[in-house]
Amino acid sequence: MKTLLEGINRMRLSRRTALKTMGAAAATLAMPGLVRASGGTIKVGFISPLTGPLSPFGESDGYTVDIIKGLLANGIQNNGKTYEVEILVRDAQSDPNKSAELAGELILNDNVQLLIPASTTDVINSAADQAELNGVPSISSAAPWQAFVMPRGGDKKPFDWTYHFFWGLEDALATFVGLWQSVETNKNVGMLFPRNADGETWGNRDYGLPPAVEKAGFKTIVPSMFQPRTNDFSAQISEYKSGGCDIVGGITYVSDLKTFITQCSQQKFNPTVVTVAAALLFPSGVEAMGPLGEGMSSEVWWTPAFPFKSSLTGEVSRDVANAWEAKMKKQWIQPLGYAHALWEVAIDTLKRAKDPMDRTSVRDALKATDLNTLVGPIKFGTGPHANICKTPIFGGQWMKSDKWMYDLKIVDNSVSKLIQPEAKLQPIKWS
Amino acid sequence: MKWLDALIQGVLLGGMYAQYALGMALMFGVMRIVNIAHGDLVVLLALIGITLSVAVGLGPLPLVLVLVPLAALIGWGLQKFVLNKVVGADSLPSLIATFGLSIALQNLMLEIWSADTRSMSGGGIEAASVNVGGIYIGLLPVLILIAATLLTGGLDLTMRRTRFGRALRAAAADTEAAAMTGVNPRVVYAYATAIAVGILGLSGVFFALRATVSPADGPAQLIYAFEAVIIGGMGSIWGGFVGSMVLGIAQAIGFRIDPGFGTLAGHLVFLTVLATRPQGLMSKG
Repeated sequence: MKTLLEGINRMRLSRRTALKTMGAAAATLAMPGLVRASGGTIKVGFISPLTGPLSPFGESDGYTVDIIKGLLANGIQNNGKTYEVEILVRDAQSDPNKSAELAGELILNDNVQLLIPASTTDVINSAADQAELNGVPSISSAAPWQAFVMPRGGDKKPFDWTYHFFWGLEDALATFVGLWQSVETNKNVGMLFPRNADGETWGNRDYGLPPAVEKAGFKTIVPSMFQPRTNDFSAQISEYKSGGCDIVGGITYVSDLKTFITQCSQQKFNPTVVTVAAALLFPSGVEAMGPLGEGMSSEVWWTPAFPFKSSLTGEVSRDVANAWEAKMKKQWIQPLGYAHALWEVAIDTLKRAKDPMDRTSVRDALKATDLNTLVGPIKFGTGPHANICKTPIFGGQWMKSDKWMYDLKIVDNSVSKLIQPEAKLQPIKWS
Repeated sequence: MKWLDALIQGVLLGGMYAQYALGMALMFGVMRIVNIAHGDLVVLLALIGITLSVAVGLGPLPLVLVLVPLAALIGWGLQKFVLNKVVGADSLPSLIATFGLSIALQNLMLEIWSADTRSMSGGGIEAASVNVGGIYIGLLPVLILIAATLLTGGLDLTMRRTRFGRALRAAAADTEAAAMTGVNPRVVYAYATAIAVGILGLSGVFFALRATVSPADGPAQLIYAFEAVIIGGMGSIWGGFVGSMVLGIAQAIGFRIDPGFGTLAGHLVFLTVLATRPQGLMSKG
């Protein structure tokens, strides 16, 4: 009876949810005693950079959470009981301190059973620290696993409460090497690293990009790191020219990449391949480069070409991307797949937990996750670290597209064989 | 050859800083207003320009014709309705006002345009260059340098030769004496800011062609304009230009010594000037 009353109660909110609820209520009545027992309300805290400089990531988080709320309108089933799921969405404003503060509030005041710090190192690490401290299970993504494990001391001792799935730096480096081996060049690589945390990591002489490509038989030319937002790259370009570089690789932001590529064109330095991490993640960034954006290559986390099905909706990646494009009126973005997969893991965990109202049993269920998601299979403890599951990464190239200015095509699968390349890496056409 | 190339790239870089420094030099020279929102205004105008170029399909040149009057209008309104209320012998209130304006503008732009990076396509002009004896000189940087030089020269002549320029200089030298001779300083100020921001209409288009634009980009451009004005001498029109050249060349030479050293080289020159000739290279004072 309670379910029916709740159904009537909700009818005032919206006709659509009401209709759904009535359907559910009817189904419940038809199966007396089986699912009518209500287990209570599970609270899930969701923290994402919805505003601020990291908001391009938050955009897909916010979009996905709206869809998930619709899917959870009838709650979830666990051991024959129905649980309501309340999602508490919080905006970290792209600020690590804000993220920690929000996580603390969600844990201590709202008593969430599960915390989802959605994306970016800045947001997830400080929130995950709070979860670890207060004994709340946490699942996160969209940051290389080293960035999640190392700064938080995970290399000394595994975490008890916090789990994460994504690829690692070593995979990105191997992808770059794979990309460069797939085309004919003189194997001279000019490197481009900014003087910031990303640049220091990627440009590291011990574990960064230069030693990885040198091991694969390439010759590297590494000018010292540049200040982000540099207005003049002619010094680097003249070093690359005198070193006869056919390839340019590294990590930059879009603003620096456009300045750099524009100057390359002015200085008649025309490398065959330009592969850059970070800057080429979002289509808006590649479009901002104008005609010079065509043929740029980078690492790929997720594209509509991923063949895996969503465990929540049964959609394939192409469907998820189409739904986004229809609703948002803009091109699909890579974090979208991960934003979806996070909820696949979270909901699967809550369904399997012995008692979803109890943090310890939610954690045990999270730890035991073995699920095929939109971004690939998720299973913890099989990869480089107990709290990490590595997801596949590929090499991609931005090519001319009918529907949008450029589309990201998978051109290299040297790290993960889960997907076949859609095309072969093309040399850049310099006009 | 390497150093000649560095020198040329430095002059071109200086041309870019000069068009930012010009309006700043004018505003400080006349009104003692340090406009912290200068860089954010460039970004705002660049974003308006990009939106117009996408929506209406305007090319860079017609866009300049639309954007410069619009920018001048924004500058005039800014001075008349905001800055005239805080301008005075004490430069602190205007500093705080423009600082607040900078933050407000950045958030307003984030609200309207989101954090996406954008840029403008100039139909290939941004990537074109000419080969002069083995040194490639970018077409767009040359255009920027020419524009900056003409603007500086034009503004200097306006200041020295026209009635408006005299009123401006009078208001700058002694506000009360100027008021007694029939010059209304507040009106003159509004025109001065209209010119200073109007120039940014052109800079905005160049900025959108040359690099990418996103709402938080303003302060990074401001710092170099700021240094250029101080190196050249606060308030001197040609001083801002000379300061920009010094800064641009120092950076370009620094980059050739070591790509990580260029920006620092610029800052070092700035500090050296500040320590040894705090009134600036061109200032008479």
